[in-house]
Amino acid sequence: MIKAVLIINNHGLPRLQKYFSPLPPSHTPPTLTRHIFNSIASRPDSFCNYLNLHIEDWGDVKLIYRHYATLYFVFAVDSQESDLGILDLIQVFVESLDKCFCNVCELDLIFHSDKVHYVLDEIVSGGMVLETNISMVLESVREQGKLGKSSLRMGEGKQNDVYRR
Amino acid sequence: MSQARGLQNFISDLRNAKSKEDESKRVSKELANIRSKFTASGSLSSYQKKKYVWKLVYAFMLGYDVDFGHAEVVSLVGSAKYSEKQVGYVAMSLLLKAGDSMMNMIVNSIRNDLVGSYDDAATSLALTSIANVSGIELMQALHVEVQRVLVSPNATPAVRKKAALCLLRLIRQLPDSIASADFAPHISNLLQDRHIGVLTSTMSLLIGLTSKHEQEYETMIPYAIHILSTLVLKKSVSPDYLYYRTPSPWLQIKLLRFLQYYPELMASGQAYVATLKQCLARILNDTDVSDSINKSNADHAVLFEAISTIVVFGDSGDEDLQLAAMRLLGKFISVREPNIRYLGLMTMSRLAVLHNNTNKEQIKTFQSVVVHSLKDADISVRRRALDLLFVMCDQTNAESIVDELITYLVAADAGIREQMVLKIAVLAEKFATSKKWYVDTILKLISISGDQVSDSIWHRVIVIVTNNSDDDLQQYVATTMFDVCSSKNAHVKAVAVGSYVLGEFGFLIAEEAGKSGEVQFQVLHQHWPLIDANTQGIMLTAFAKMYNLYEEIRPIIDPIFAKLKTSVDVELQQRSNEYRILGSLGPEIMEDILREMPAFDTQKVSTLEIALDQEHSDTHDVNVFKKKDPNSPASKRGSKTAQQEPEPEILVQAEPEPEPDLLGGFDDPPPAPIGGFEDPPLSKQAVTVGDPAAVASSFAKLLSTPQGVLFQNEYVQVGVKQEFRGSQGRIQLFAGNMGAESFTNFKLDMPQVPYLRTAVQDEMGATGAGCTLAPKQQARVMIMAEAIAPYCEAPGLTVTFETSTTTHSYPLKLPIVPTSFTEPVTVDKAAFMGRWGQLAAKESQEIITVSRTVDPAMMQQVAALLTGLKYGRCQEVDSPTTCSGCGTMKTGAKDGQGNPISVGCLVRIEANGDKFRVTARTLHPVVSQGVKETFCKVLKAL
Repeated sequence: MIKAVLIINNHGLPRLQKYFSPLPPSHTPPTLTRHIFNSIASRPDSFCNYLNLHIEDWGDVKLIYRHYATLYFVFAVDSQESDLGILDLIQVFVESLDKCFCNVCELDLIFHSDKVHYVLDEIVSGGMVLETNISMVLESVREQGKLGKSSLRMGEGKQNDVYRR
Repeated sequence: MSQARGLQNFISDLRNAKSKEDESKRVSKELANIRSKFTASGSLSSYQKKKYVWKLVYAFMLGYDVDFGHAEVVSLVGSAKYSEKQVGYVAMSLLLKAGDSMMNMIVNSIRNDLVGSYDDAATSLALTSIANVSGIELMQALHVEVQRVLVSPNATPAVRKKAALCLLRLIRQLPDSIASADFAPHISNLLQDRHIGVLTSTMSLLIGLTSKHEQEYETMIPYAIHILSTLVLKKSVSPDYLYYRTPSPWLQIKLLRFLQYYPELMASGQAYVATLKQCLARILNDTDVSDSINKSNADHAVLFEAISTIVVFGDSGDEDLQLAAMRLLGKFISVREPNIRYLGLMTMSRLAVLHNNTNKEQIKTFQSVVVHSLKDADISVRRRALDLLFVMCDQTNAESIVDELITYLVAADAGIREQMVLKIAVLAEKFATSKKWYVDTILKLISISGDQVSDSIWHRVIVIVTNNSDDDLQQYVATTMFDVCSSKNAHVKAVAVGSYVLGEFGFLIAEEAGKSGEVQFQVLHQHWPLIDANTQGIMLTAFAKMYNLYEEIRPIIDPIFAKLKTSVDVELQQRSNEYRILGSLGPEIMEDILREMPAFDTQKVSTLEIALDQEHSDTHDVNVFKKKDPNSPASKRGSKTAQQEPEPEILVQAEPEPEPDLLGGFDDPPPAPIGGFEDPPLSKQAVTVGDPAAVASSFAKLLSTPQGVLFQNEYVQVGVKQEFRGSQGRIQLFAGNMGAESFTNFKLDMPQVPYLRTAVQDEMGATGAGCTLAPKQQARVMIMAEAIAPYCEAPGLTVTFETSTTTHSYPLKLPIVPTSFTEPVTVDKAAFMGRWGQLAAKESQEIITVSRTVDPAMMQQVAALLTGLKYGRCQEVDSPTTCSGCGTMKTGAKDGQGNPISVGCLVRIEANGDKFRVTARTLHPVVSQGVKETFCKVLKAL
């Protein structure tokens, strides 16, 4: 299963961290994300996209990651996942974000971190691949956006304001 | 409007923070503000709530502690508005953990969304959050509803696919929560869905179910192959599901994964075999290298899965496919593209461990290519190459592979050295063509990479050398070690081995020119100032042995002992004092004590085997080195018997055992019971139980202490004194009459259990026909017990007797549990974690609640308990809230070769709040359970 999905920028600042496999008390998401970032950041892009890591109390994980311009997309998985399949899934995630934000950049992820979560929730659920069809992912996210507005009477105007680009 | 900007402003402020302190100050301010808003009496608007919660999420992501706001999250989840719900659910999956107290409050809201809700959107949110949070509380409360949603005919695809994954998470967490075996008809329905998303999720669920209930889901094979052929052969799929022109690679991968659970599939003769073969052939032949990296990834993802499937089918599969797969792998491991090479090496390793000789021979032809990858710049690739070399090694190529590895070790970086050293040591031992080559190899390891050579590796050399007294190995090693230690630059581990070997076997070469006892002494002693205290201890023992053998060097050694009398190191101080006095005890005693060590009991090396034993978790690898009978005399001088010679350290005689005391109870007897006389009943009334809590607590106490009271009330007291060594134990029972009235028919009933061999000494007949016990009289019974099989249940002991008014019967348990027959084992972190992983399937786990919050002092008690239960602590793997240990349960049963069987046990105790999670992993599931129960009992009694 996918134990965690992380987006980290080149300086190690997390832009998204979602842990599907519960963390033991000895780790918190920020510290573990930092540790994971340190492990991959030193690897040149010419290396393969895999790195095995043993994380105390959390077990052996394989980090499968892709480096896009200023961002690392990292999936920490157990031994049961297809290595290339996860690389493809990262691409699906990135393309979905790209379409969602029209040319996604780091700022979008910072100011609209909620939306990033909604997109991810349509692609990965409970650490398993849920949907790989990008149009369907976007459709679901859009639907939810509409729902949010229609059922929100009093804060409608403000809502738009928060989510303006 | 200003509020709307609040979140954005907050984020902007943090982005503009000049330093970490600035940022931290801004966050603290914001958190304080939010906290005050939350605690203020006035109600917040939905918009404000959302905004504040999202700020909390944002701060949490940046690494700040957010320990409040849970109630607001709960209220958002329960809101009727979708936008609030959505924020609530996302925040819940990030901020709340399984076990949080708020979890129980949230369950009802989730249940409403799950089944009571009129719209799919809310149901979807609920399903996603259950799957993501996966708390036991949620799972237990909601598994029925999740199943209902999944099989409901009205569910939309969007809901159905989420429900499938949610259920998967659920059966992983609570394997028994659904009748997994009976779920097959539902799965077959789902597999006829046309929606690819639903199919992908269903396949994930199916794989989860199949991994536990293979047979029940065999009927799904035709469905899977049908779907696969639609994707692979017909390529018919809606354009949306083409990923870079490949029909949903994820679904293809899942289908192939599922089929791998049935390795005999191709030989089944079913009609679908031909279709499957066609699919596999198509995947193998049609995959081309493409210029688009994404297209290439997608195709190769399916291709590698197809190859893995063919690998799993092995010889029962199609020969042409096998050859084609092997050809492709051969190609992949030599390409430059790092991902493909990495995966090629990995898949080939998988292939190599299958017991298939054709494959193995073919793989061996790639040795030089693999060695090339061992020198790759990328550590991930290097590790895979190392793994592959390790598994492709056998008797025929061991020497060349080990040579290659050693050559490379010189240049290898720290990241991989430790693993390499361990693997080389394992290969050298496993496939040694001669023992001398083995010893030489380990010595090379020490000289190249001594720091990475764990103690268990060089201890193993000592064991093998000591246990091989027949040929000239000992002499050879003595000569070699003499040469190695002659160099001033010898590694400290080499000095340790040298000290031990020259102390034990130096006499074999002492006649040779230039290698007299005195020279040997000098060769070792030159290292003294540079070695650590542990090694000095070993060397000191070697000196003592030399002292005994060579009279001429006694005047040189005496001052060394004398000087160390005041060493700050307690161990050295004690050793030197003891050795110094030896000389004065007379030559015979000295010689007796300093005779060479007997052959090692090969059972005692299990620490190393844990490290070595990388491939098979169930059976200990049979060593190439024939293990000698541990009882046979190893003495070359042959004059004296070699039975259980004392180790040199044990010079101080253990104090004579004190007479078993009467457990104190009799000096000061409690007031005679009066209850029995107050109201004499007509017939004898039966008393059967004491206070169960007190019984359990006394039992628990006795699990980790050698003596104590097992049971007592105003009539009777039962004390236990116990002593265990290896698989055997001696248990003395003292049952005393504490009352003022004689007992008749006093019996101690111990039903026979199949897992213990017992012999009983009982002068009064309490374990037989029964006896009479006068007031203050005591019945003593001695039980000799030997464990002859793995077990978990403590044997029973029923105490029955009659007084004039009452028949008493107290069912108790004897504190003879698996840990009683355990001996501690000390392992390092790598060995512990390796073993831990291997034994994952045989785990037994329980979470218990204790009376107070666990603090460091309590953790110290836990650590002491671990030692009390005869486990070796493995502190390296522990955090302040965990405690791990390793032990081996000895039994008297013999395996095929006549060696006693023992069960390696690992245990880990994790504290969280007022709870302990106790996990036991052993080679035997029953023992896992027994060990877990024992630990739970003693922890509860803390």
